[in-house]
Order: sequence, then structure tokens, then C-alpha cells
Amino acid sequence: MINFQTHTLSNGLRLILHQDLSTPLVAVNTLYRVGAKDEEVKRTGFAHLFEHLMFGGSKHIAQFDAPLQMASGENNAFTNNDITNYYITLPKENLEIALWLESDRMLELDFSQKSLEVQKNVVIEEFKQRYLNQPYGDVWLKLRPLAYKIHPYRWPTIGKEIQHISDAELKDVEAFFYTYYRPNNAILSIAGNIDIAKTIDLVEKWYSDIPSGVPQSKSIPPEPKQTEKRVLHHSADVPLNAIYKVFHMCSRTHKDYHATDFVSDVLSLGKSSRFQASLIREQGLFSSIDAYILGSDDPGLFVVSGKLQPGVSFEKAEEAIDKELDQLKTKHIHPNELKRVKNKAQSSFAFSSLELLNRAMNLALFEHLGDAQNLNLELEKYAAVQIEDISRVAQELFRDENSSVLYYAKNKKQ
Amino acid sequence: MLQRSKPPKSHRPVFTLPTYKEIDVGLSKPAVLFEKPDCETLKIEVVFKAGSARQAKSLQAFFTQKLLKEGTVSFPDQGVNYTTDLHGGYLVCGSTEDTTSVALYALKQNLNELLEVFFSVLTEPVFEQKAFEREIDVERNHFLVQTQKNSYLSALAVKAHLFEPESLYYSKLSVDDFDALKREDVQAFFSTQYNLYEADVILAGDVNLEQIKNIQDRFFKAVSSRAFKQSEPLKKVLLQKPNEIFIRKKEAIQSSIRLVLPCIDSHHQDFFKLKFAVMVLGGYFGSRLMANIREDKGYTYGIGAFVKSLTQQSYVSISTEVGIRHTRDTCKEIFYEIEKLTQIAVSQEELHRVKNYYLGQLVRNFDGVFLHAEMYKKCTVIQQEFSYYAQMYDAFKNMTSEDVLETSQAYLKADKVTQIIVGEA
Repeated sequence: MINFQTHTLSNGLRLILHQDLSTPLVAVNTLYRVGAKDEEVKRTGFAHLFEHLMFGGSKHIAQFDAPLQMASGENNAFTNNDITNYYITLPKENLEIALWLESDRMLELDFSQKSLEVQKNVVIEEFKQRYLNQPYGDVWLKLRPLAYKIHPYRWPTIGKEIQHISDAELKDVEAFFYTYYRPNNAILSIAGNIDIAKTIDLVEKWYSDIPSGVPQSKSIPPEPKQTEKRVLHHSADVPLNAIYKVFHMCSRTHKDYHATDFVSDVLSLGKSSRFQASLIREQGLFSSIDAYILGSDDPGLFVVSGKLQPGVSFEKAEEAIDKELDQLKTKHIHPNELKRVKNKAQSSFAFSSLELLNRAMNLALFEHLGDAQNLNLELEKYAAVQIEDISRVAQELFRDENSSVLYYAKNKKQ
Repeated sequence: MLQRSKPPKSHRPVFTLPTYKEIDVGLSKPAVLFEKPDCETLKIEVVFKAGSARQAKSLQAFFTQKLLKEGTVSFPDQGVNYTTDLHGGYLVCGSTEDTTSVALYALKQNLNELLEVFFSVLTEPVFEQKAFEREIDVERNHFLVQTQKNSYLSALAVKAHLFEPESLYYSKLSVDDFDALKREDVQAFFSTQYNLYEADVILAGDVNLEQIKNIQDRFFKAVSSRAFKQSEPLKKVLLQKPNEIFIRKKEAIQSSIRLVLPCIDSHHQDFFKLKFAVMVLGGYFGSRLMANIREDKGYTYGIGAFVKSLTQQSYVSISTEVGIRHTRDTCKEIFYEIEKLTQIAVSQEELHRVKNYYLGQLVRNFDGVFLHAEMYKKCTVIQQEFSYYAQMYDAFKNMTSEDVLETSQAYLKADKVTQIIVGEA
């Protein structure tokens, strides 16, 4: 149970406070409710580029990192399709430094041309490092537009192409800031060795004069129901053939999310999972194979990805995967399989909650998803999943017409 | 009126070395316990001096730990994995140059069932031929994927070009090594190098008296079940002359750059000072290298420097991935930054920034008993007492600009650097 209190400022900023007196630290997490799904189709990658610019100085503070380091703090940030999240950990005595820094860049960013030019280059190098200069690095650049045709989840956070990043202009940066980086579009969560009342006062002190923005109610077009299987063949200089098969699944807040998560766990969590036992050890078809979910605000993806053993054809590999998925649809799993994934969920939740920053982040994330209180209901929701739910969810997921498959072949010349 | 231009007051964090309990478990050293009552989790880790430094054949240490979970006398075939997963445990094995560790993460409520598996893994793995072949195959394929990455190739090249071929820590991994390894090699490595009597045992979390008794009994039994040979002395470290290595990868988009420089180890009186100087150079987000090569020039997504501490040799390592057209300029700028550290004293502002950041990092590294256990392990590996961290805190607190300058001049010598580039230049 993670205890917390909430408070909302008059400008709409939502504050969540969690006290833990056993740590000498405080974690300050700022979640902005904007991600790659809010981008325009011709300016993809912008939310993430913008995240980089948030470190280039703000209205009253020339540099973000240096004063924080001076106060023994550490920080970083990430962007995904739904949110942009900034986090700081620092000694409890220096909490106010974090609030001073975060509130100033929420008030007004220093819109600098030099910072934009440099960060465009940095992000382009990140694009190359993560997506182009890696074997199979471009998989999501191909899979997303195969699975999504309308919804902006069809491009990855880094952007569709490098050109979109190069083309970003300072006026776009400013407009983006005043649209999305307003207190009423943000959630601030503070966890650690804090005094609740004093912390509320400090937050009021630093944030209350930040003007709110126009509430964002951009409607994102839902992805139309897929009606036939989609396939894509691609080849590159990679050592092994690989197959990626994805299915549309429910959203993070849907009642079936936890059962869907368990479906992926039954298939591939740990060495005793079905994929490991059957596809790797018994049949020797794959060198590695995983099933996992992309839980997102809007309906996400259930992913199966495997690297084939040399000599195994794509047909045979896919047939074997399909057979495993079919079994989940037609036959109930063994009670021990459910016990296993429930126990794993419980222990992984317990270990992850040990970390202060995880608690701060999760509180903000669940507030974004609807209510921070739901974080404390997660384990109950996992515990409530029944054997029948697994088959039912599998039947809904694993339909041919709900699938998109990328056959990633190694170049013949190798 | 709110003063937004001026930072609120801040304070340097205070570091307190955590305490631990010692428990006699019948080994050469007592087990240590970092206790946190009322938490639902427990970790128990056994650290053997069975790293790759002690192997006669390439990959021997790696595959021995890899196969521990693939069948034991009491839990044959996948019994270890099935039982661990069923009870929500995590059994994590890993090997480094100097050690192999086996760790169990458990919910307290399932501890007894999981201890049964844990001790079986520690004492009676069977190394079945079929499992051996399968793991070799999986890892060989993984290696093929990894060697497509320039960053992996440059990391491999460090071991091959820093140390002489007959030296401790030398390694030059190739795909043939996977085929040359035999099941007998891993069996032999386990029986000769996994010396439980000499191992370190580290516990963290909540554990009651009855559970402690259970753990003690199991260790006593395990250690008395077989005789352990005392570990043999390690080979000597022999360093190669500094060199420039260039491995061309046609059609590379980025080059991977590694600069390595042998240095003093943690027992040397200047070690903390050197660690600090390397931090100024490239050890954090605001470092000289990040400020110049990422934030000013935009050549890279990231660049870092750190001191790698092995028991018998330490070295400074600088690494980055850059767009190919910036390869040469990046190397030039790295050397420029090293040179600058040896010529101009750091400003008071920078000195205090690095100091405060570093002290904050130390406090962060000790947030909670599971991190205490991790830090305990780290100092044990390099044969330091736990008070090492208190000394580190004091040394950092007392650093001066002159210390940074003198240390850089003494130890960061550009002509001792081996430069490795994988990509295009």
C-alpha cells in the first residue's frame, strides 16, 4: 500500500505527495500529458525533441543541470507515445531547488536557436544510435505503420524520419510549449522524506503564479478495426531471420489489461514459460522468442518477436507460434501457470516499489491514467484474473485478421 | 515578490555508513545482513571468486553460471526454473572478470520453498549435455547479433588490446570459442572454482529468526558436503604498449570510440582523487566531455568516462558513439579535454558542483538495504572494507582544485592512452 495525498493548485496543477521517512532523499516527478501521439503527421518526433530542449535553460535560470548538480541532484526524462516525464532525485534538504528549477521551466522556457540546433543534432545521433546503427534497430519504424493506419501510434517516439527532426523550427517549439506545457496539463508527484504541509506550501510558492493554458481536448482518431492480416517482408544485414507478429489489444485502463498482461507472461515470462519450453527447448525452432504488451492510453499492441534458428523457414516458425496461441484459446491453462504469473506479478511489484523514484513515477502515471489510487488496486486486479479470462482474452486477441506480421530476413549475400 | 533568478539555499548531503549484522554460516567469513524489518522481500546473494580471470578456456566462467539453473540433482531438467517461477522468485546468476554471483530475490512468504532450489543450484548442478548444447547454441546466436554492433566490437577490443595475450584479463572472443568449449570444461570449472567456503554471503531485507536458522543450517550442510581446494593465485597482469586500433566497418552510420588508460587501483592513496578527476572529465551529465562533445557540438547522444576497477588492474575508460564524419574530431576533442585538465585548475564553481553531485550520488547509491547490499558486494570484490565508502565521502569532500590538477597531471597521460575506433574515420 502506497500512502499519498493529493492537492490541486488553482491553475490546475495536480500534486501528489507520498511520505517515506526511511530515505534521505526526495524524488520529484513531473509528468506532462503530451507524447508522440499529439504530434502532427508531418512533424513527428517533436515531443521527444522538445524534451531535450527542456534542459536548455528557462526564463530566469540559464542552465537546468548545473544548479541541480550543485544541490547534489540527478535528473533525467523520457518521452513515449502518450506522455513526457521528467524526474529528479536529490537529498531531502534540497527539495526546494528542484521545485525552483521545475517551476521556472514550466513558467517559460528560454527559446534559443543555438539550443535547438544542437539538440536537433543530438537527437539525430540518437536516432542513428538506437534505430539505424543496430541490427533490427528499425523494426518499430516498420511495425508501427503496419499495425496502425490512422492512429498516431503509427510512428515511434523518435519520429518517422530524420528529416522531420531537421525541419523543426523555433516557432514550433514555442507553440508546442504554450499548448502542452501548462500546469493544467501536468502532474507533479513528490515522494520521499517530506513534510506534507510544508511541501504543499513550497509547491504553492513556486507554481501558483504560472498561468494555466487552454485545456487540451484534441480528439485523436481511433484506429479502425483491422479486417485482414497484414504482412511485410524486409531484409537487412542481420545474422538471423526474425519474425514480429503483433495483435491489437485493449488500452492500459481497460478491464482486460491485467489478463492480457498475464497472457504474455504465460507465453514467455521466465524459462518455465510455454514459448521457452516448447519453441526453444522442445522444438528448437527459435534462438530467442518473447511475448510482451505495449500498454498505452489508447488500445495498444500485443507483440510476439522471435529470432529463428538457422534453417527454420518463416512458415514453420509462424505456424509453431500460431499453434501455441491457439492452445491458449481452446484449452484452459493449468492452475499452476496462473499461480506462477500471479506470484511473479506480486514479487515484481514489491521489488519495484522499493525504489523511491518508481513510486513517484507510478503515482503520477496512474493519476494521468485516471486516478493515482488505482496504483494501490493493481495487485488486486492481477489477483482477480481467472483461468477463463486467459482463454477469453486469447480468443479476442489471436485472430488472423487482427494480426500484422513483419518477416525480417537476413540478406542472402551474408 | 518571488525571486526566481536566485536559487533557494541548498545543503551538502550527509552520508552515514549503514550498519549490518554478521551471521556465522560456517564459511571462512560470516554472512552479512542488511536488515529492513517489515518489508515483504528478501535477497540473498553468494559471491564466488570464480570470474573469467580464473578460467583456462574462453567462456568457461560464463557458461558455468549460465548452466547452474538448467538442472540439478534434486531439480532435474527445468525443475529449478519451474519451482523458482512458481513461487515468484528470481534466481539471478552472473559472472564478471573477478566473480560469479548467484542471487535469490524472494517474497518472504515463499522463502522456504525457494531456499531449497537456491541451495540445490549452489551445490549440485548437473550440467546435462543437452542443456549445455542448447545454451551454447543460444549464446552463439546472441553473439552473432551482438557482433553486428560497433559498440560491442569496440568493448571486446579493449580486452584484446589493453592486455598481452598471456596476461590475466586478456580476451579475444570469437565464434569458434563457442564450439571449442566442452561440457567437461564447465564441470571442471564448477568443481575447482566455486569455492563456497571462501565465498561472500550477503543478505538484505526482512528475515526472521527461524529463517536465519534455516539459512544457517543449509550453509553448514552445503559446506560440509564436500572439500574445497584453496583458490590458486592468479596470473600476472601484463599490459600492451599504448596503441591506435582502427577496425573499419563499411557502411557504418556511427563509429564507436573507446579510449583506455591503465591506472592506479583502489588501494592507492590517490585513487579517490583520480576517480574525482575522471568524474570532472566525463562522469556525469554536466561533465567536460558532455558539455563539449554533446551539448556544444552535437556530435553524439552521449559520452562518458569512468574508472573500471578489477581486482588486479584498474583503467580509465572513455566511450562514445558518434556520427562517422565526426570520428576524428571527437578523438581530437577528447584529447583536448584531457590536456586541459592537466593544465588549467578547475574553477571553484565547477569543483563544488562535481563535489556536491558526487556526494549526492553516493547518498543515492545507499538508498535502502538492497542498495546497501549491492555496495557491500562492490567493495568486497575489489578487496576493500565497507568503510571504504566513508573514506571516499571524506576524500571527495576535501578535494581541492590543486588536487584535480595534480592528479590529472600524474595519471591522465595522453601518451599512455590506447585508442580503439570501430566504424569509419
